[in-house]
Amino acid sequence: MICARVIGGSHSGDVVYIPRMNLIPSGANVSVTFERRQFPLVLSFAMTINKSQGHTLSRVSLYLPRPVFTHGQLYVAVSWVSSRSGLKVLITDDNGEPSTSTVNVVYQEVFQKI
Amino acid sequence: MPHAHILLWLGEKDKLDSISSIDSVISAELPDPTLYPKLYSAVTGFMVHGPCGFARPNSPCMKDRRCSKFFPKKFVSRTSFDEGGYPIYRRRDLGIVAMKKDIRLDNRSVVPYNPTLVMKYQAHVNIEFCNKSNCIKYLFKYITKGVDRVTATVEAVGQGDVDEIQQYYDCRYLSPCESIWRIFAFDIHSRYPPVQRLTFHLNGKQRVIFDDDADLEDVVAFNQERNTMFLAWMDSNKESEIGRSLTYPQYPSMFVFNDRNRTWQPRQRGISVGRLTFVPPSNRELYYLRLLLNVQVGCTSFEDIHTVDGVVFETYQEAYGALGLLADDRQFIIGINEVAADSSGGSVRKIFANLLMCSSLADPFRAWEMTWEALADGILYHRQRILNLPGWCMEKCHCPDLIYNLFIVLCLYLLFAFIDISILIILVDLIISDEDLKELCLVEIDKLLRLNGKTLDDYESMSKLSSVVSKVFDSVLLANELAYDQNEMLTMHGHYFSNLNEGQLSSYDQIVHSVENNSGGMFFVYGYGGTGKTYLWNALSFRFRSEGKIVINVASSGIASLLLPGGRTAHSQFAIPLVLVEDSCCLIEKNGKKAQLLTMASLIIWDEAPMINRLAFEAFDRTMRDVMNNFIDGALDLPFGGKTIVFGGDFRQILLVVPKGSRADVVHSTINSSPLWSCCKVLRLTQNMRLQGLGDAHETQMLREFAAWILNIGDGKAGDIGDGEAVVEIPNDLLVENSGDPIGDIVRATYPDLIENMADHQYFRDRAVLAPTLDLVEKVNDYVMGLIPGDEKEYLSADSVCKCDDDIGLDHRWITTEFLNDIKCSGMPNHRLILKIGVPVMLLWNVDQASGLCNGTCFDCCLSCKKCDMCKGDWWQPQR
Repeated sequence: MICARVIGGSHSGDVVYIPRMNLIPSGANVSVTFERRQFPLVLSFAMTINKSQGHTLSRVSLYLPRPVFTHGQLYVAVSWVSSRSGLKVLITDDNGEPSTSTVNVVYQEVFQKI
Repeated sequence: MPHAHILLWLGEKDKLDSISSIDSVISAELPDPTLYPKLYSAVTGFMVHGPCGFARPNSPCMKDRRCSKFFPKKFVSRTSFDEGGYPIYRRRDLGIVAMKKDIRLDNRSVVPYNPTLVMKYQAHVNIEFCNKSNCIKYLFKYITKGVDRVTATVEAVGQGDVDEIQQYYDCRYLSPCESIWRIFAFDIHSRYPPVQRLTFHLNGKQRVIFDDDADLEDVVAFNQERNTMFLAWMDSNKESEIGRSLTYPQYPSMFVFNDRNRTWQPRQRGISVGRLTFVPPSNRELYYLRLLLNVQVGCTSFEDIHTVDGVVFETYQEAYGALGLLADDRQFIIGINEVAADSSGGSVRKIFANLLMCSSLADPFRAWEMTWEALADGILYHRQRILNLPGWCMEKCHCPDLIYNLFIVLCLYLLFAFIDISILIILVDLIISDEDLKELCLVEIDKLLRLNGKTLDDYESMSKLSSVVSKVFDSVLLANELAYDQNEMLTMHGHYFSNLNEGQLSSYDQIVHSVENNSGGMFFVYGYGGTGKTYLWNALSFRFRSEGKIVINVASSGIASLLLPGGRTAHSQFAIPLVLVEDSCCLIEKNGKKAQLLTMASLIIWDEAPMINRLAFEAFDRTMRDVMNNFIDGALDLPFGGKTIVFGGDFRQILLVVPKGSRADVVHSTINSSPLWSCCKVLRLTQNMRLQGLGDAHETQMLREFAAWILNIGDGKAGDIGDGEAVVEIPNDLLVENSGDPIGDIVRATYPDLIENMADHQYFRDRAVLAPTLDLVEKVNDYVMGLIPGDEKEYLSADSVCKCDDDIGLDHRWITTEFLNDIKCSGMPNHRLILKIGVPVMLLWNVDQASGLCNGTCFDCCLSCKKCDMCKGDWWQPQR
């Protein structure tokens, strides 16, 4: 069992016990269906942009050694913060050199049907 | 026609690892004839397939009236991969055509090519990308398959001597590539990296080789002195300190086994990979020894191998189990008892309920039988305390929570049945029997399950509740939704309503109007972050709940559902199937409890709708029409059976993930591509609430500009506008200064004075480094983990193959535990999870939504409670 304390949200501060659980991956990128018994936890100093959707974050650093690859990722990454000072961005190009621009992906046709 | 199939392996640096890099090498489009006339003529001359099909049915590629090479292909705007992992190259409809045999052919008929190669060789050079193991298998077959021709001679049988050399010549067939290979005298086989097979054995059971006529005493004497590779590893550990951090399979990376003097010696050069020889699981002890050798480091004796955390176990199997690597229930039972030692029965029951819900227990009944005493902890005490309180009336004594009270009002006859039990309990209270205590404990567990929409009855092997008690709880779903305090709701509503802005108020009025007139309708509240969608949901929920009506709040993701008043995920609340097809329905019984709740609901709110496949909404729509048809005539023809349903979301955000899906697949799966969308009324929220109430005019202006910049990114209006992708310039003040160590820079910018702030509960609350891919995230996490002082604790997972129909044809014996352990995928923790005290972690699974434990919930963690005193120490105290 791992003992942990909730950070943020309406249950903030609650102390909970988390047992190992039998987890079956839902992604299609695995060639065998298997089951893993593990604590359903991952370190959260850093997280993927997709995972961050729904979190309330006020200090976000965006690390882009490669550009985003799907609709809305850049927007989600920058839109959590409410003030300019809460956002930091670090971009490097293919050769690891610092860069000041990155690629934004937006599927315009999604907006046309609204 | 002479031709060659050539397989090129690209070096690590040149790997085509992104769509854009594939596009830069392989093209399946006609070049622009005005810009590249020479290339255009080469491509039209060599690289256009056909014409075939209707235009030319006698084309050699036609088999059964179809092109065997599947030309013409479809137009696609972006390179992607199909389900089998084969690439689908970009073929845009650019209007460029080529004439061939008087037939116009466009990008759909272009055979993938590389411009440089076509120009250089002026020949048909088809180039294909393959990075999947199954494609490679196919390619090997392709390039090595021979020509269908043999040279044969006819000889009479049984005459003269047999010329063996001649026979050999006749039988041996060399494929073209093998002949070339041999002519150039290249190595016929090589191996990289070299693999060292590692032998091992149980204590005193090493294999010994001796001659038939050898003297057995000599054999024993000789072998007693002689080390095996395995024993030599233990000896080496005794002497050399540097290898003690390595497992036996890792040992060859730093040591070389010298066969002559049978010792391991420090490696001077080169590398080698160690592999343990295979042992079938039927050979039990040896099998578990093998598994332990993958984990244990620095062993100097057999005893060390079956020692875990200082405890010497009798067998290798037990030791393996103690590492938490055996998928039986033992660790759960131990865990429950451990937690019970220093916390209340309530939290232990929660753990048990969670384990049931995620079906982690192999044998729930046995686990219950072994832990029920721990689980029942506190129940008796609770009863006694209630009884000792003077002046309490009987109902209150035994109906301490809302659910009981509610049912006293709702169904009187059940109340009488309940009082019978109450009296019984009062009479026998202090000498309560085990059976009764078990029953009470099960009732408590059942309550926890029901908060998450499950009941004990869902678990067949568990003990059942006696019928009287269970009936009382039957409609708990409904009861939960009706349990709101109407007065409190009214006050809350008053507060929220008075602060609604213009846009919110207009949306609010339309929705309320639709509910009050029972006119039904589908709404979509469209607004970006900060326009107050959640605020509107709250106002609506409080309003109807204050009138004793039911409002069902759901969200597409667990973490978003936590922000809603009484929110759940849509999947759990509506029992939406995980695998969706065009005619899916929700798994709701028409006359069941869920259906009852849905029919009684006045309003359904569904937030973050663009994150779910439209098939989910359509399945829910189908179910609602069916359910409502019992109550409303013509409900079958009304969207959502005539209920008022409000969706919310922002199409600028990341849409749903379609595995291996193309841009068109994603757009087509979004809610506004659904046929239902035509009856949806879109309500827009445009006022940014974050900009309100700021005193300083300059500050407000700054914020306004920043918010506009963010919106431009969301709308795709920032930077140069291309089809889908645009390069955006990031303002200088947002950029982190890059000192050549990007990960270090970004971590320092996000977590200034990390070590000093570790103890602050609020510090990790709302900061994070974000990155597009999982491997980048892992790199950053590993880096920060390295900075944090303190002992790390390693948790290994137990992985096993699911025996399901999907993998028919796959021999499970091929799959070793090491292979499964190496698999990393999103949404799944790694085999090796390393934690330190106080580090922030995130949950990857919806464990217990009622307690706020959702996929995405963040924690800071203290490790195994029994062993550390953290819970009582400073770290655990709430920080202010």
